[in-house]
Amino acid sequence: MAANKKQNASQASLHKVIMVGSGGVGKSALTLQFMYDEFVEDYEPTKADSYRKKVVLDGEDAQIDILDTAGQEDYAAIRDNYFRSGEGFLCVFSITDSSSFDETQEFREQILRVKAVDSTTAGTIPFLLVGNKSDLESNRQVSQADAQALAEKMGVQYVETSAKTRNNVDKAFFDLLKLIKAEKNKTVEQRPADGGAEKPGCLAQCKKRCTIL
Amino acid sequence: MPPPVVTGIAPKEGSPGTRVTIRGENLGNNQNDIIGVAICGRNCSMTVEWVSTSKLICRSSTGVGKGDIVVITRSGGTGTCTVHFTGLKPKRVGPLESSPVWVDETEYVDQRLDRTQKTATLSLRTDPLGLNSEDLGNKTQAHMQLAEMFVKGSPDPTDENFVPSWFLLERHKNTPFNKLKDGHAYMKRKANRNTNNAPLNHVKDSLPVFFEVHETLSNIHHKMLKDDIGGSNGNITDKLEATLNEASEKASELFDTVLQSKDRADSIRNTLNVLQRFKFLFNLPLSIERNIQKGDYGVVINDYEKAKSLFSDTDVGVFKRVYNEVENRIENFRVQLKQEVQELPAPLTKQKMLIRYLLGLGDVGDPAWECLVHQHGWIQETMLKCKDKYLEQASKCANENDEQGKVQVCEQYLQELTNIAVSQIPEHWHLWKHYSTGVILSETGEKSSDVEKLKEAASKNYKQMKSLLRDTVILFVNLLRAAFLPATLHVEEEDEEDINERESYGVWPGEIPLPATVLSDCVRSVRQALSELSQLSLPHGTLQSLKDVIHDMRVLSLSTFLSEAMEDVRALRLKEDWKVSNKGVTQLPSQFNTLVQELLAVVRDLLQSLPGEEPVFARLAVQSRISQLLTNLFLVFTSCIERASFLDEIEPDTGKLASETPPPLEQRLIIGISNLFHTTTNLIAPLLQQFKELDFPNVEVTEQTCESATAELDKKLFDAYLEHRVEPLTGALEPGMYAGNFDWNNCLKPSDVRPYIKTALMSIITIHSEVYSICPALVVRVMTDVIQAVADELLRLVECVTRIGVNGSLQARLDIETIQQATVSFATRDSDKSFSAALAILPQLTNSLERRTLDELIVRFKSRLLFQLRSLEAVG
Repeated sequence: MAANKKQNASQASLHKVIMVGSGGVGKSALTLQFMYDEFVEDYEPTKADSYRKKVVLDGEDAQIDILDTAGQEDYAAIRDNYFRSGEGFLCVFSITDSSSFDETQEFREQILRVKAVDSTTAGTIPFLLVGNKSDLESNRQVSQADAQALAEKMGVQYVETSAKTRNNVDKAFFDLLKLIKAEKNKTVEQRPADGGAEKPGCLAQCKKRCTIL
Repeated sequence: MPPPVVTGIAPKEGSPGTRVTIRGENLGNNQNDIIGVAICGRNCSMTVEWVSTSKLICRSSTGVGKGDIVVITRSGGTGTCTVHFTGLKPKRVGPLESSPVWVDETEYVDQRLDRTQKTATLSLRTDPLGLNSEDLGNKTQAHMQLAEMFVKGSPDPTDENFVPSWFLLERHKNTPFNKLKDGHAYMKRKANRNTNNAPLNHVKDSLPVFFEVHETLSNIHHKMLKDDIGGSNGNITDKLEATLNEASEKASELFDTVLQSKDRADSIRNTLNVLQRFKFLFNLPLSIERNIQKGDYGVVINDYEKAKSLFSDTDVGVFKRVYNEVENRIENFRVQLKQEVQELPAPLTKQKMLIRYLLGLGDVGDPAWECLVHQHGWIQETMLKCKDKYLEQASKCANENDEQGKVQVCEQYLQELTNIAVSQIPEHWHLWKHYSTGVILSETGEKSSDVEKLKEAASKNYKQMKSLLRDTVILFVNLLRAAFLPATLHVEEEDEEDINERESYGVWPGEIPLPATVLSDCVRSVRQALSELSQLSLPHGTLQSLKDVIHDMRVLSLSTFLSEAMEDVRALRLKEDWKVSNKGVTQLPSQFNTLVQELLAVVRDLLQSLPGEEPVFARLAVQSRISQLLTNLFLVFTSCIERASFLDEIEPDTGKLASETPPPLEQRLIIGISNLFHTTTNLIAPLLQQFKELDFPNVEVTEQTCESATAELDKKLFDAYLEHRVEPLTGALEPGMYAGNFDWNNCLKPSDVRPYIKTALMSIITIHSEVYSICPALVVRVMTDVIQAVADELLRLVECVTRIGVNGSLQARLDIETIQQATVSFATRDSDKSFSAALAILPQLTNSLERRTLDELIVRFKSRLLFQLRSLEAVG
């Protein structure tokens, strides 16, 4: 039985989600709410937290691996690494903090750079723009229209969530998971002949640069 | 609960000691449920803090690299994880860097020699190409792969195995080629630059190198000196040495101040550390004093034990001095405690506590046993003191002839003495119990070597303890005996020791024994004491002497009761008021009855033996004594009646009691007989029966003695009465018969009964009325005897008549028949026989005429004396 289960678990597809966004917008709150139905009141800056959960996606077992990253500038240098391993991104800002909204563009650009995609292929990166803290309507600084406009400009979906009330939390994650799944199916179809994983590709990249030296 | 699953980790990587939040499912029910947590294969259980069943917080350990997070719980077993933690190498802090956290300085020393590490840091700080490393972030990820590629190399420019490719790949992967060219130029320029302008910076930058060079040169120098080749190559060594010294000085100059301040800081810190670490010891003497004053003895003992275990065999002078001071204080404390223990009376709990403290202080000897012995002495002393106090009072009373006061003193003495015994002996015994069972050390009775040791010591002392207890009880008993039963304390007159001992129990003044009520109170008190002491389950035989004394007291009390009753009965006689009830009895017998009933009531309680007590009459000597006393009691009453009746030996001072003049002797005799009769028939048997029911011994003997005594007295009284009454009557017959020179031979024809018969009849009537008025029941008995006597006398008189004429014969016949007929109610066979014999002696009547005349005369006489004679018909 146990062995069987394990097998199932390993067979279930794993989707790697990265939480990005400025400090204090509620990335960890969203993650913990999604993972454990828990709202953490006290603020403790995150470095890099890792979570994994079993979910049922379109009737199939799947696992979601969430990497909750640091929003603070201090850790900006190590973001690239994380971004590289991510399959989908929840780019979070706080609707009560316009600067966090502004910074989403920078995150977006950094992701696209690390993923080495240009504006034409940017659509292949599963990405969701998330406006958190929708429960604090009275302190809103970012209008829904502005957010929607930016999302359209980026070519991504926009979701407004509240980690406190759990409003749209599952929707944000599941929408992203669906995007990831769809994107993966596309790549699998595209790449049967390619036969290579990502890692050798990376090494090859390194080697290529070496030869330039 | 299913096994724990870790599904979340925050943060997912960190150096050792990172505070990690572990989230998941089934992470234990509480803190105690957590058996262990391992991160990257290293145990982190020590730091685990359970927050909820889905959240734990702990600190990562020294595991390096990516690894599992395993939670093990009691309820769920070994868990699994879906996320992983990456352990990083520990951070290092340089000797001149400020750090907010504690730095392990052993690592600091190692670090100075750890060249590779140091240079790595160095090389990271300044790029040899003079370019900014644009992408440090890449390093971590690519590092592992690069390390695989260049197995034997190093990216460190200062390393022997420096591999430039690795360095460039690591640091300048994305640097454009022309920039690298510029860097190359910069490096050339830098190499050619005169570095003398900044020797300090140079030394600082390449400090590890300098150290190594210095070391190497020193080694060379040493070797050269050793080889003694200085002669040929003197210049070289000189130069080398000079340079070396110069370098040394420069280095010292650089670091002197730093090192000095560090040294000072170190020494201060050391001193502070020592003070801090041994603050406990240095403060101990003061804190001991303070805690003793506060009464926190437990704290003192704990501190002392701690100090003892830590410092008792220390070699450090300061510690020795302080520890000696501590020892001194503790010694004083011990003395103080011992004094406190010996302060009596003290509650058991306090004693126990003090003894426990003494044991805790490692007192030499056996404080509990010492305390027990001391307490024993104290109890004895208290008893003796009590005795002295009351003895003095009693002597005072005796000097003032205050018998009442003396009795009171005795009662108080008894009270206090038994109080002491009943309160202190149990305390003593309880203390022993606690001591012997080890409870004194631990209330919970847990076993430990100390308790066992205590028990062992106690078992050695058991016999002694037993004798101590017996001593106390015997002293108590002897003090009681001295006061209440002095006769039972046997003293060998010759033996001085014996006499001294006897005197120590107190010689109580006065020969007069104590009243029985006091004695019975005494019995009650001692019984109470015994019953209380019996509950203690003292060693067998300890209380035997107490039981004996109770028995003795009971016997004494009983006999005193009997004697007192006897005295009371004896005194009854003086209370006789001669008022006769309609039954012919005075209050004497009923008073006697009341007295005896009272006696029975008091004695009943005394005779009831409590369980385990010897019955009072169990011993033969006691039996005969009590039996004697009981018999005496009844004999005294009979003698009392006797003496009352005869009124002899009335002491002059009791004359006041005879406010009413007692009736004449004859009446008293009758009353006596009556009382005696009443007593014998109505009182004695029931009373004796009651005594019998109380198990008095030999009641039958008493009864017999009593019966014979009463019978004897009855006879005596009766005889006395007859003597006093009948003799004058019969004596008067003869003179009356011959009054006026009467001659039987020559007399007139009888015309009436002769006067002497009338007188005799009147006397008989008087006796009758006397007896009847007192006790009708006695009438027959007295009268028959009277008539008998009269008849006998008449017969004698008739027999004495020698010659009798016809008229005389008629007259005599008339007289005899008259008296016979008058007293017919009291006739007996003997009296009838005497009358008939008297008549037979007389000559027979010759004719019926004479008979008729005779009868007529009798009838006439009777009718004349009708009322007088009628009175005789009352038989009673």
